[in-house]
Amino acid sequence: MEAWVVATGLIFTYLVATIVLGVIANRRMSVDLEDFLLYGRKAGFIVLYLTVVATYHSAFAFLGSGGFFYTHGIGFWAAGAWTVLVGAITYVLGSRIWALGKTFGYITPADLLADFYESDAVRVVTAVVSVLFTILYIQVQAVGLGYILSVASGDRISFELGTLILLVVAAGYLIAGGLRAVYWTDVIQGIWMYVAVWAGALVLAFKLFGGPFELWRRVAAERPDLLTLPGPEGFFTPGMWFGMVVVLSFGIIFQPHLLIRYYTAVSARTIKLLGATTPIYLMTLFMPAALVGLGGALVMPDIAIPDRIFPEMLFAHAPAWLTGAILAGATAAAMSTLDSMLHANMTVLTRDVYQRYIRTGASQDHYILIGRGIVVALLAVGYVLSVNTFDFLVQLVALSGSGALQLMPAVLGVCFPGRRLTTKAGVIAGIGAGLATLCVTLILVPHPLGLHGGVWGLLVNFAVTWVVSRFTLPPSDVTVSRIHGAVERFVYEGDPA
Amino acid sequence: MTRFRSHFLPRTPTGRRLVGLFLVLFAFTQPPLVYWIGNREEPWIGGMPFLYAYLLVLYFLIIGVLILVHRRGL
Repeated sequence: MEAWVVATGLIFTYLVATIVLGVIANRRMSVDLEDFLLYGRKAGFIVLYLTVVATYHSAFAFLGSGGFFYTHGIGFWAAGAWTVLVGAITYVLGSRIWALGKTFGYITPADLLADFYESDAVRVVTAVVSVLFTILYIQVQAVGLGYILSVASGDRISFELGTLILLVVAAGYLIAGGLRAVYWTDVIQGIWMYVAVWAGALVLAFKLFGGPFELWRRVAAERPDLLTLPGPEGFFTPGMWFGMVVVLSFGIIFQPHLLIRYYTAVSARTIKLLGATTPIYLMTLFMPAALVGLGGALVMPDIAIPDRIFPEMLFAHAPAWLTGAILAGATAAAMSTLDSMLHANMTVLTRDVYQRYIRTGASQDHYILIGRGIVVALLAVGYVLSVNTFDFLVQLVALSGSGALQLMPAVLGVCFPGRRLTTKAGVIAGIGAGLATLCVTLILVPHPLGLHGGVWGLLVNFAVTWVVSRFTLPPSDVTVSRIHGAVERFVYEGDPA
Repeated sequence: MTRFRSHFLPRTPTGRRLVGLFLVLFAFTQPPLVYWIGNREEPWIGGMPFLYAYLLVLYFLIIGVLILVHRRGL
């Protein structure tokens, strides 16, 4: 049987499985907004673990990371540093966000910030940052999915049709089963993508080189420039290394699709165990990517698009069934991120915009219906952005990785009590200054002095937030006592309520 | 005015030791230390590139610290 038939068949088998799970999740769902948006705050360790890792790792981890190793060499192993940092952030910050969410019934990041800073302006700014910078990632993931299906079918399914099919499936099971469907499908996706990337890399390493260690020896002998810093093209300078570690840990964590996951844990113990162990999965997923990228630099040195190195090597050197299974894994990697982003944007728009400003006090049924309608609208927006080329999108996508990072001073101000308080004026001024700085340091003068532009934005944000907060009114004593008191009791007395 | 002691500084000796250990290990994965210590051409364990093996060991040590923090209930 031809490789494309097997590959496409396995991808569609996988898609059918996700739809079945969505239908089952729909039957388990109660008419409850918290159940639809937050899995009823009942996510146990295994489900939460697999949804977090599957959501964190997108199509980039599957395809782009191999391309990075291929082009820039071993420097991309810095990825391990940002993944272990994600674990620490989850342990320290995620558990506090969970406790506050459980105590005060928060559903979105804006709920958390607006309550502490006593400000609708903070709510709006947070919602806008949350939606703006993740809706662009919906487009990035949708493009990745269209590309994967197109490659798997040997261009028999066009990029546009592939994008549409996969967007519709992801939106379909989200509409049917809410976050429960997303979590259940993420469990399959998390397992599948991990097994697939390891299996593919090891098969290629043994078939082409006789094993990973022989691969390393060949790379050392033939391309030693790939094994040292800053890499063949001088990309991994100290400033870029440090900047990527900050942006791809904190910057991803502060995006709503991951922050919202912290609210859903069933207990503090679950989320702390999650923090302690997620780096095992997140970090080790990049190990086979190194084998693929560096091995690919030896056997396919002139490939035009480095991100295609993994599928190109599979089609050339792996059995058809394995290629199909692995491309289905790549689909899983992209869909698990895409569905989470659709869900996060739906949650923010339903909760922070519709329920707050358009129609308050409606029934749970009504808000769930509106949420489903918003998913359909997001699907349409995602599709239009994916299949058209807009010049402004290129620049916005450049900003998006660092955009959510600008929420960091505000979130720390809520979750880390201290003698000096952050104020709403400080937060708004800081986010504004940080985003303005990003326009300069990522678009006009990319990465000044060799330091990642996202870090420049964050530094300016922190400075402005701190200065403005010194001269403006802090939140009321009642609110500080209520929220910081809850954090104090949670951290030092183990009491989330 | 209600104010709490800073949460950025650990309050127990165990907490201070483990946070310190995490930060020291993490510093070895970052510039300038990773460039000074890890950036070598010669292979290391089993022929793995030195930088790859150096960072792999550090990453697992850091994960070990996180698990230890969890086991201590911090």
